[in-house]
Amino acid sequence: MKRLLIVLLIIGVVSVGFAADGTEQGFVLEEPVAVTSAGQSPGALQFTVVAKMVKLEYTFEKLLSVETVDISQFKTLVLVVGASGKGLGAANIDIEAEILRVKSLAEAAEKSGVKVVICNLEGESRRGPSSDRIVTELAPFADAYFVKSDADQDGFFTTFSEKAGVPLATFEKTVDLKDVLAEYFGK
Amino acid sequence: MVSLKRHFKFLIFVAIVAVVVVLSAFSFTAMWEDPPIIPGSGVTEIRMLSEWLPSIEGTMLDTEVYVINGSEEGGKFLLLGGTHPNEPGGTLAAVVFIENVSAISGTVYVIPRSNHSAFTHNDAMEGSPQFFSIQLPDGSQRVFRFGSRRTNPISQWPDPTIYLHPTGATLGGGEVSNLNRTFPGREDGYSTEKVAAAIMNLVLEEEIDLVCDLHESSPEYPVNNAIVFHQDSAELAIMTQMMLEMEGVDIRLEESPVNLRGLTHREIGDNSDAQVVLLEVSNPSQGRLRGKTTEDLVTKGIDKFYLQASKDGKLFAPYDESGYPLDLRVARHMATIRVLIDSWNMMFPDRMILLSDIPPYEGLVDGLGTYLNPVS
Repeated sequence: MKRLLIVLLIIGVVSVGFAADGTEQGFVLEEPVAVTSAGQSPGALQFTVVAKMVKLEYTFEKLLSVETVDISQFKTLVLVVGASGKGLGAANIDIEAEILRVKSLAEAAEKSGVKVVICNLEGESRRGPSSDRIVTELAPFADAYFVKSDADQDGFFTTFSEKAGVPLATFEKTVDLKDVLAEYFGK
Repeated sequence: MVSLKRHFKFLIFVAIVAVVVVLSAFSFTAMWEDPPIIPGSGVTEIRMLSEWLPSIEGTMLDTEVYVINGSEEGGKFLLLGGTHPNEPGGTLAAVVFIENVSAISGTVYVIPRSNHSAFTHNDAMEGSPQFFSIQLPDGSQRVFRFGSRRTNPISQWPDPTIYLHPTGATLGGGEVSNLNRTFPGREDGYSTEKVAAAIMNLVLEEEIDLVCDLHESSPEYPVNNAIVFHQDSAELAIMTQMMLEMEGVDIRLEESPVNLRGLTHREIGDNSDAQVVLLEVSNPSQGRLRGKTTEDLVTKGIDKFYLQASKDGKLFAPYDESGYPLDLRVARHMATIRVLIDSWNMMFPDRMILLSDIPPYEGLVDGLGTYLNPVS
């Protein structure tokens, strides 16, 4: 763990800044954070690596479910969207079951006053019918979007963000997410 | 008279068949000879895979293991090329590595023709070229084989209808001749399983820390320009992806499914302490949408059907009029290996693998021939 933190620190130091074009003043997120995948791509794992850089207090479960966890113990729920056929296959679930799982989580979060963040960390490579469908299903629950810039070239996330009046923070490189997290979580 | 005429026609037919058979035999057996690999000064030893499984000695399955040993102790890295010999970017990246790279600390084992038998033929009905060549700066050419995804039937035939993997999983029968479905192998099993077992023995006996298996994939395949990683290698893979991205090389991540058996990233990871990744890069000469499969398609990667598919948004890798040349594919692999090793060294400084003379990305994109040694 110590080694990993050193590595993360080095990467953090050499990384370039991000473009927080959608950040709204005054909107803050709180810890502890629940992180799960929405589509079973490795994006959620990437999120946890970046979260370590800013020492975010988080719990990560790929298949976090309302049946197994009381979501009200968290202050923020991060749903990292990315549909992966391999990932879904490995988890022995189909896209319908996955959508049901993450929607139930988002609904429970909303009821408990837990903020919901929809995150795209893998950019354009995780834009497609399945990933877009997950985002569309989750959009009514979103309190913020953290999105890699190339995933929003067609304004897909901007449209949701503007319609709901919730912030959209975009960043160029995966590692730049740490600046977004630092800003929103006051790190 | 009629009988004599009939016999004469039959003899002519037999003679034509004999000529075709002899000419075909020359063509087929031409692939049995290994094109030379010219090791660079970093290679300290050339061993044979049969040292880790003597029963394959003297067969088409045996293959060279190039050892690059640093003067200082360090980690141990196994680089596999040619697991699928119809994916030349993987083979060529391993060859370029052997011909250029030196180690300061640690030891690198490179197997450029992992499924050696599969290099000795190519796939029926695919119309693939048997050979392709790369031009060197001095004007000479280096020739390489475009082999098959599967072991030569001369080494292994027949395949079963259903392949019962050692874990109990069932796969299609043909997969028993696909090296990347037969790990961790069986020492007394099918020929391809023996190769997997030999590589597995190498990993265990040499106490390999890190394994990287080099592949290519069809542009229409979702796992493309990607690092596929065993779950125990997640942080290493993510670190590599983020560092590559900072260098301007976009690569996606895919976690190895636990229920997809026989692959290097699954079985070596499950059956050893090594961290394992598999690299994919887009290869238009491999996919189902391609047009005529020529040597040019293999090396330049230009295909009008893939261009159309790209315009229609059907591909999982960038593709335009400039194609997806072998130079770029090898450059991507080499950059990923370099950053993978950098990431390893940052995470495991007590098992440092310090390498020098890794060809740069830009140089390889300009022409990988610059990084191949001439055959004297």
